[in-house]
Amino acid sequence: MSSMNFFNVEKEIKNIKKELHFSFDVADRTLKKGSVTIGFIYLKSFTDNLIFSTAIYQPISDLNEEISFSSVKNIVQANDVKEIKKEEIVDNILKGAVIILMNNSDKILSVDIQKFNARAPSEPPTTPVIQGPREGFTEDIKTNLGLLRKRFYSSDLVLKNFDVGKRTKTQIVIAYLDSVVDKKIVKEIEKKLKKIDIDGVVDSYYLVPYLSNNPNSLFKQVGNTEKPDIVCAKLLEGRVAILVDNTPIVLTIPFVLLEELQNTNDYYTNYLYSTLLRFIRAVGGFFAVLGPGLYIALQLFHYNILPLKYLITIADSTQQIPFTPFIEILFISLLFQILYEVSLRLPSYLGLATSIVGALILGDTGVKAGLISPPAVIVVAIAKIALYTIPEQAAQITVLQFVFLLIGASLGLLGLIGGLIYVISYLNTIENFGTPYLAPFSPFILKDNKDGLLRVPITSMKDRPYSFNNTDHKRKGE
Amino acid sequence: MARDKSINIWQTGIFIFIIIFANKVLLLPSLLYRDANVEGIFCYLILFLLEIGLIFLFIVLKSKFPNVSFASLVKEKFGIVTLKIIYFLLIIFFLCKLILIYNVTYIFFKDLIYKENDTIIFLVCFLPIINYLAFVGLRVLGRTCQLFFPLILIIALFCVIISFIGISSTPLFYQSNVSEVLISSLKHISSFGDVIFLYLFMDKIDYKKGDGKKLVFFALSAMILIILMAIAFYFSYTYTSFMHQYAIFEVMGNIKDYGGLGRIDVIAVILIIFLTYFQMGIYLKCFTESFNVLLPKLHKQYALITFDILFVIIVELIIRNLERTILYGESILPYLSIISFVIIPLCSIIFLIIKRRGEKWKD
Amino acid sequence: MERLKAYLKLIFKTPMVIVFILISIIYGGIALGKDAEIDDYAVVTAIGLDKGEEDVVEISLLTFVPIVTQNFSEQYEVVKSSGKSISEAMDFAGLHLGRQVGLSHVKMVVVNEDFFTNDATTEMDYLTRNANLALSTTLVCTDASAFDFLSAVKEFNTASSIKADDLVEFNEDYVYSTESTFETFYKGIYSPTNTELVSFITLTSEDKEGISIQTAAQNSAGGGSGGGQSGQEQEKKKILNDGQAILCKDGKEVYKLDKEEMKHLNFLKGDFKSGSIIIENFSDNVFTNAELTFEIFENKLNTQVAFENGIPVVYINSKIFLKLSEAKQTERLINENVDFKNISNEAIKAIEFKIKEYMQDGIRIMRENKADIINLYTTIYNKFPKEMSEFLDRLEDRDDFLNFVVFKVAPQIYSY
Repeated sequence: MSSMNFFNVEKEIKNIKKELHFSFDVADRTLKKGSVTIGFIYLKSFTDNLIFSTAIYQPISDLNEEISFSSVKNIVQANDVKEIKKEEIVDNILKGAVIILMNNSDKILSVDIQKFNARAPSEPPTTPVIQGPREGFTEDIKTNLGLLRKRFYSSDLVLKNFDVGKRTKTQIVIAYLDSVVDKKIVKEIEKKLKKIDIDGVVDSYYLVPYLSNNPNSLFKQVGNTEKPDIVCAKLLEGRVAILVDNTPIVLTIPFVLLEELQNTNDYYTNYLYSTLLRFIRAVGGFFAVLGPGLYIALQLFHYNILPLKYLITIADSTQQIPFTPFIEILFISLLFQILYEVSLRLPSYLGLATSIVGALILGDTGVKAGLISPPAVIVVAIAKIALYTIPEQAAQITVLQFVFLLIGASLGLLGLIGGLIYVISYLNTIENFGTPYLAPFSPFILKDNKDGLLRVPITSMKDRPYSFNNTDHKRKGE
Repeated sequence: MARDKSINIWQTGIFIFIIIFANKVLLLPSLLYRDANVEGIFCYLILFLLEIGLIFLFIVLKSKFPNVSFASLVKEKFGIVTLKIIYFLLIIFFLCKLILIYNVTYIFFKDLIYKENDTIIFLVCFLPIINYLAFVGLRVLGRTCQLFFPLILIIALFCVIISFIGISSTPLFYQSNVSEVLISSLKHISSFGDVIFLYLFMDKIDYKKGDGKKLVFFALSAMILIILMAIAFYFSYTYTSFMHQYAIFEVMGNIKDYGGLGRIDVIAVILIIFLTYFQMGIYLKCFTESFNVLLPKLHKQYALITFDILFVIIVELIIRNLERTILYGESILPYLSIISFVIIPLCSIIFLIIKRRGEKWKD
Repeated sequence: MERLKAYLKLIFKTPMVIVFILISIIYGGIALGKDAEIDDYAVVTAIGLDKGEEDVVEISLLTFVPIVTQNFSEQYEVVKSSGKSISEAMDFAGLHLGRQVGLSHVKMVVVNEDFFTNDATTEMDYLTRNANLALSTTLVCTDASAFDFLSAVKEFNTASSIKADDLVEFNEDYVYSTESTFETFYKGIYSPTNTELVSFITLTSEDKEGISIQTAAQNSAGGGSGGGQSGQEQEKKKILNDGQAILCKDGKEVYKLDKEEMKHLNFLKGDFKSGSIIIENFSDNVFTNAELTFEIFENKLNTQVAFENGIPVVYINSKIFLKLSEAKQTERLINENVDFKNISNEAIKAIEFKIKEYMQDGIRIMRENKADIINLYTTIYNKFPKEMSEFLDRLEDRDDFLNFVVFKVAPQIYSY
């Protein structure tokens, strides 16, 4: 070991500070013990000062024997102590490590003392459950990994780490079960993640376009969840989970549309009830998409299909409306959408007042004033409410609702059915990671339909989904 | 994007069901009654037998030539000129069938649910969708049909079951003799034989040993439903069967006010809309497939463009009313049925004989 | 050129998006300004046909008029117009209404009896060609003017939940055991025996039997100070559904059946839902000179056909299920007597005799009018086509074949 390579501690610290643009939260300390100068450099905003003092500085300061790199490495009381290269110094500092340099060594020590400022795992607001676990992921990836590890006390769970984002260098971890997953999917995901050339990853959603085959499509192609039990279930089915630091949303791949019809509660309650609920969700989704379009098509093109009693009700109630039916229903739909947007952004104490005003204006005053008709209000209201039987697809269903409204008003029943066929055909063209989007309905896979619209008892779910090319299709204990 | 990959046997069976069922539930029962009275049922039976024969022939051909396309078989044995002629005839056949289906359903929809004379709206509804279905590939078309098939089947079963409720009398039998039945069968032969699409997609069907039964099952199901519907139609309307042009719609119309929902015959309209879209999509796919064999260097988009132009011209200028459509269906199309009942089976039999003789064949 | 190629490439890549945009611009724009179809069409719920002078056809359309209301009431109007044909009259009706005439919701067609003096099908051809008018529409014949009839019907439809076509449907289920629709009328026309049955409903004046609805307008007119016009408004008609039907041959009326005659015919047809038989002056060990009324629940008919010496023989065996519903005699009956509820053998014999009389009366009606109401021709022909053809060839008048058919009726009575 040549003393020519030994560090000039002060100079090195100055260089490192320069590299970090002399940011005010860069802290440094120097400790002289005899002829040995030990330099510490870290980010005070990001590290636990107490641990620094008690686990690093104090023990080194109290060291009686000769100060050397190995003695310092041994005395430091921290979990993650490693030797790093010079070019890794800044990266490690930025990840919450303290760098220790010594003037009698050319080695660099990195000790991870990152401070966790994450909130405690709590029930996610988007997926409440009546029965079942209420833990949710947080913004801290280590906590999230802990929540996942807690559910797999086996070596089968594999975690692989990536850094994505030129400036943010966000930590991404992919998780899968080694004996179950199709390795081709893992390789493909790794390839795609490595190819990502992006400034920064703020949320897991930033990765979605890079992971999808049809990034410009309206339809979701990557699953997401905030609940560790859901991720656990998906990993057991042969999927791959992608955890992203600073976001509680975990991505799952491959994704099929059926997942939106399934809800966490389905697996924690009676299977017959779950089956009924799934059918209701499907019907709700169907009505949400087609309801207003069908209503307007019947009014504009096919009055003769309507039974006389309904025709009388609609004709009487639309007599004094100054707008054409299409404008009327468009107006009501837009009003509902505006109300929804407002309710999302308003503070909760104002939300109640807005709801009352909206309901009164739309539901009562508008009808009494003869600006809108009751049947149109009912149809649009039911459609908007039915939309939330599948809340994860709310965006897609809302867009489709307007599209089908336009088609129904323009072309009638033929156009509506044609549009429906087109949408389904389009969905059938989507295949991500070798999995058809509409599996197991199309192509029809009988075994997978045990957990499709139907939900059979868990004791009967003996196979993993055949929609994915899992290594092991049988669910059994080892 | 999945383009022109293979379809599985269930999807093939669904295609067979749709093709067999869709053609025969509107005008055909009343036309058969006009020509052969109640004995029109025998026309169905005779022609269905021929169709089953086509399917059996296909099954045997497929099992002997599992990975070969029909075009390559024809080219190998009969040469490129014969191949071009056969596929040119197929193009004409499918174009004519598309025009026939479009006209019949156009008149049906115009009379019943659209009262405007504007033909453009129907072209705007149908052409983009069937073009898309033909463009996206056989696998996507198969999956889409598969997804909608339970709905189609349930509605079809419902229509047939409900139609039996309206039966109140017995028609008069023994009004037609054998020759009248045979002549009537020949006259309406163009409504049958569309299962030749199987031959066109021979190399794109995943076929394993024993899958033939599934195809026959689908075909027989469709045939039985059609015959039941025809029986219900003839027994409901007896002597006035010739007056009711839209059989599946009219048999439902016997039920006056179903549980306060009014006329339930609108369910038949929805069934016909679905069937028309899929049937036209499959036929257009066959058209593009034939076009690509005829002119392989052109991209399939050109097949679709050619079809669109020809279709619009013929539909708009030549055929616009029901009588002309029926005339066209009874006088011109039966000659084209030679392709489905003579040429294709003959070719297939020749291939099988050659195979059986053990001649060398490039698989 | 490069730009054009780029545009073409984009179109081929996303053709459906381009199509959707075009449709939205063109048809969406049209849809924004398009009124509801109900505003362009007058919803007709009943059609009335009268014969005017000099081959003029007068049509009356019972039309639904939309009004602004919160109490779910229905407003109807009867619009009259005339023309050389029904089609022309419809066009003029559209002019009067200011809308196209929409026949998709027509439930009833009321035809004046005059139409049935000649072949009615020649006059009603328009209605069979119109695709919007279902052939399952109820067909009613009336001796009053169809306009008056529909005016009376209008009161019903506006002010109550009883609809006039309900009356006909009741008859179809409980009186005729057959439908009275366009479909059945044309079935009869095209059947080998050209026999049709059409429901008949008449109008009566206020003091007679029948049903009508008193509306507020009629109340105020009735209580008004009088004068010519209000006097006319006070002359109210009642719809009288008497269970009658007209029997037609080749579209022409040949006979009017009353409800008793219909009942007699029903014993030959079977499957009627209600009816009763009254036996007068009956005596057995329970009753003395009593008038017994038996309610019929079911009539299971079994018609067998045979040919004997070239003559068709029809065996009509019916199993009739009855219950004693009323007994009237001068002396009070003993309630505890168990036999009171049973139908005795004497009663059975009396009922059988009565029913045989009814059946024979039904046969007489059919023979006299050469009307094969019970569709015997089809039954015999389908079983013995060759023998039937030979039998008919031997007859001078094929329509008269019923006079040469031998009927053997055998009712069997069962207690319900």
